Amino acid sequence: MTPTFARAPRVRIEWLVISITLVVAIAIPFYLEKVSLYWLHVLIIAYFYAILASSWSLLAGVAGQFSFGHMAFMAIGGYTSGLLGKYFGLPPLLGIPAGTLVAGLTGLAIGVLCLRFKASYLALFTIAFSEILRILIRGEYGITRGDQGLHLEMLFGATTSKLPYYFTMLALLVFSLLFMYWLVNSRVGLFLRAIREDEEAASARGVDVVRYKLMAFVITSMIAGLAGGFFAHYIGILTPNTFVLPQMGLVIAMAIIGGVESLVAAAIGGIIIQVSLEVLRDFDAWRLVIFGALLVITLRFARNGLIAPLLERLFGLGPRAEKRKKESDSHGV
Amino acid sequence: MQYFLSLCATGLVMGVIYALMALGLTLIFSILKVVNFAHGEFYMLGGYASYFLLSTFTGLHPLLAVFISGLIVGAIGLVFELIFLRPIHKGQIERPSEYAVLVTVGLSLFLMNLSLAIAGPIPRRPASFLAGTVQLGTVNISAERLIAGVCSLILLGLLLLIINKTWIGKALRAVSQDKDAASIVGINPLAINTIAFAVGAGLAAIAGALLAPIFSVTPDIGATPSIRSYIIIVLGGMGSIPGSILGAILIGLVESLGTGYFPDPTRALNYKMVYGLVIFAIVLLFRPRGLFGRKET
Amino acid sequence: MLRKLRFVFPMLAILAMVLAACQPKPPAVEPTQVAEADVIRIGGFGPLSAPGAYRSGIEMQQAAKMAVDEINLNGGVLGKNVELIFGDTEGLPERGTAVTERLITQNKVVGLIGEYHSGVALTEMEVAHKYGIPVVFSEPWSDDVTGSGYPEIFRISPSIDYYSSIASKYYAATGWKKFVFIQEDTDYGHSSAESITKQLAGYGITDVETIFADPATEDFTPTLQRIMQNPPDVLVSGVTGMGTYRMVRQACDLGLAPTAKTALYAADAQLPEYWENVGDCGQYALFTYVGLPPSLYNDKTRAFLDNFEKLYEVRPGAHAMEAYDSVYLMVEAIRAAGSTEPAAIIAALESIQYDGVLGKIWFEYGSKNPISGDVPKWMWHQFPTPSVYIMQYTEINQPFEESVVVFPREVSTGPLYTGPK
Repeated sequence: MTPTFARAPRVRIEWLVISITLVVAIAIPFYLEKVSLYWLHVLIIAYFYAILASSWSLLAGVAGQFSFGHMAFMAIGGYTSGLLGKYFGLPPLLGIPAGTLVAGLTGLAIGVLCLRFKASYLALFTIAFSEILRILIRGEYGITRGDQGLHLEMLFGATTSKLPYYFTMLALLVFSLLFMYWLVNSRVGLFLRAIREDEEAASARGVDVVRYKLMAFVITSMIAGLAGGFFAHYIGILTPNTFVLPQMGLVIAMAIIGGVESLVAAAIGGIIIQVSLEVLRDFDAWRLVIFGALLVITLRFARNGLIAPLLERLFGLGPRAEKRKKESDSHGV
Repeated sequence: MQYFLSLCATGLVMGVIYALMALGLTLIFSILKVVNFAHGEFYMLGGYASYFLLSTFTGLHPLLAVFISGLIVGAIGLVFELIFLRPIHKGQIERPSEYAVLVTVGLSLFLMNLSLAIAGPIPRRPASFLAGTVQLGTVNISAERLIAGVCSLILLGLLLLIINKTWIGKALRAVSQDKDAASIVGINPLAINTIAFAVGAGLAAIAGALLAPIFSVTPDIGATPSIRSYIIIVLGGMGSIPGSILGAILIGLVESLGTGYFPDPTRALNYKMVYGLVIFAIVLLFRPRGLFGRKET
Repeated sequence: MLRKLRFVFPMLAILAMVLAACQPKPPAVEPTQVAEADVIRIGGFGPLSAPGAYRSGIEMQQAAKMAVDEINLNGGVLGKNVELIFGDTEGLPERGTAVTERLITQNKVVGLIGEYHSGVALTEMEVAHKYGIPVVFSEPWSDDVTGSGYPEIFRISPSIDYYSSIASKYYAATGWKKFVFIQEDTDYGHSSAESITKQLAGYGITDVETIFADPATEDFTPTLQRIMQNPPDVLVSGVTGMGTYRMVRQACDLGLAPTAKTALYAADAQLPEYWENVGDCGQYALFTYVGLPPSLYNDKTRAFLDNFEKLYEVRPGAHAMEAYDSVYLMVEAIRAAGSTEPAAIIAALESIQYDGVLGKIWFEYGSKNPISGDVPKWMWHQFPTPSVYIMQYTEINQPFEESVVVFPREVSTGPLYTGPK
């Protein structure tokens, strides 16, 4: 029963913030290209991790599924495209969709087999899957070049400018966020949250539990695969070390510290952590100690992450505000 | 034949030591219903604790250091449980199972990087229990491994005895089966949780300290044994104590025989972890209750 | 109360992160015009954290820093101080690209030194080539590094091919016929296995088995038990770091090697933590040392080792000496060129003759003396005779300084091979 005039300016602030952020995101590379190509590179990588963190937060925060295989799906996207390019001459623009598809199919297979069980089974199974994949890629040196790394064609050919990569990654981030935002606020998202809260109750009310869980798993696997494909064709080389388990832990930390129930907050968490890892590089080993501690403490004392409550407080974004908005909407109707 | 036997001997000895670590994980899971994703880091801390104990107090007997390491890491586990896991069982946390996964993952990241920052990357090795090799029939086994195996066996036996025969064991079993009923008969489930987590962490640390003179210690050694323990507890049927002991011995044998008889010897070592992982995946798919698991209620 | 805390805590945490982020760090600071005129920047790269071999990378960074400090104490070069900016590659090829890009475009370094991993060096060299910045690689071994023929790339460490030629010459001299290699599954492990198998075949030795393993492998025992069924004349561990120490102990516990029948070769036995990790099993192990053996130390080597131990309280490996000499080579080239123009530095490096910790260093083939005929491609801008010695520990807990040089025979300090009775 919130009066509409009280809500109107808040919505306007939201749009203002979003447009300012977008303008800054679009303008900043032109400045950075003159000042520091390195920080431009850091931003591109940060967007990549933002995609991974936000899609993982969709999986974990909204659908309640704990996968340790997210980086492995990323690697499947990259390696599929790289191998197709190496052995069949497939250009990156065809290889990346192929990689996304293979990541989705692998996700489907794992989902069909695992999603019947409890959350900890999926966690254990995806750890096993990720390790098997890593060992296979290391071991099959003749095909994948193992530890030396698989060289990939650059997405934009010979150009040395980073601008096209920056805008591709930014667009990928924005579109995947928009898509996931739409998904979360659609009927699917509603069902997913219902399943997460009480699987049996949802099932009793006629929600096809396995189907919706599977859908979330496959979609996020594909997003990870897609991001992995672009990442691989930007860096130009892939090694099995890019998806070791501590690296997966880092993605989890990004999503949690940002706020696992808010896609935007998780994405911002990804960007902030990736950038601060660069800034704090001089602290060497201690910076990861700090992030480990921050992760545990955030979980215990700030369940919604560090970014999500801020977003909510300042702009009315975030999960609880969304919930409130929806409630008042339904009241209004 | 002799080759087969020697592979079996190696696998058995390692399997018994794996069992000690897996038993800790099982204990935690069956009581707290939490998979401890920091189990490998407790194992690693055990190795470092025994190294630093032995290099500080030169007169200390290596086996005594192993058990003190277990106590130290058990205490770390205790503190962690009190601060981070107890709130789950007091109902202060929304969606506790997810929280438990994440908070132990966070702990593992923290402990691994903390040890790297403090102890540095150079491999460390605590003093040996006993140098030399023991000849068992036609099979050579290092004295260290044999002692580690025997210690593990004794500890396993002791634990089984405690769990099956003593009051505290009864309380543990009661809490693992029905928390509410247990609290009605006067058992404090919160205290039992804390004890189980501390003992579980301590067991991982003892396994780590027993293997430290054999494999040396660096901050990142936890990953392989922890993944192996997950495999074992799923094989054993999450939460079953005899199941995880049998599962551990099975994995020890599979790793040893798999490496010994893999058709392409060039890759045999590379795929050592894969043999166990494949069995794990198959079991998870077709018999999620585990090979030796009891039916879940 | 709780609700408030929920808000305050994240604010504090973020504030702390922002404060930490705002503290000025040397690499993050943009070089100002004034500073640019005052110093000459040299970039270094190498693994300083996992999954890289950071144990070695950190020593390389320390040695390079020591060289720069010495140079500045003696008045710098071209009237300016030298500044070293060392980037952490984490042993990842993609990080190598990013770090090199940062050093060149942001820190404006005039030359680069270092690197430990071949796989990373191969991507770093592409970036350096793109910008035309000279590189003196200190420790990567892959033939493809100098084999690229890029004008900017120089190397003072041995190539895999060169190293294998010395190792196989030694193996041929011992008369051993049956070999088992356990190699790490990295670029180094694969390419050195390939090269040494080929070269051994040149000596008529074909009974060579190669097994690959992750350097993090815990237990080699099952494979060693299989090898015991038909023991070779020598068991070679081409796994670096902890993998080798584990394998040495496990081979010794099984009674496989070193025995009267089977000799043992252990990579990384030259490192100071060797004895702590292998115990009594370390006796009779053969190993390769890249760098001058103690019997051939010159005054500079001794001074370097003393100073390094004084500063960092550890005896450095050969990779540290290589990093140290790389810095001096780069600075001497700048001095000789009289400018920091890349082309001038490259020309100066091509004709440099420098007496360093590793002995006399020069680059035989380059634009003035192109590669022709039978000379392998990797000889381009390659220090032609890097020190590669086969050594052996003959006593338990023998200090590295007292280990025996067994090959090449001209400089050896003991018999070709000493085995257990």
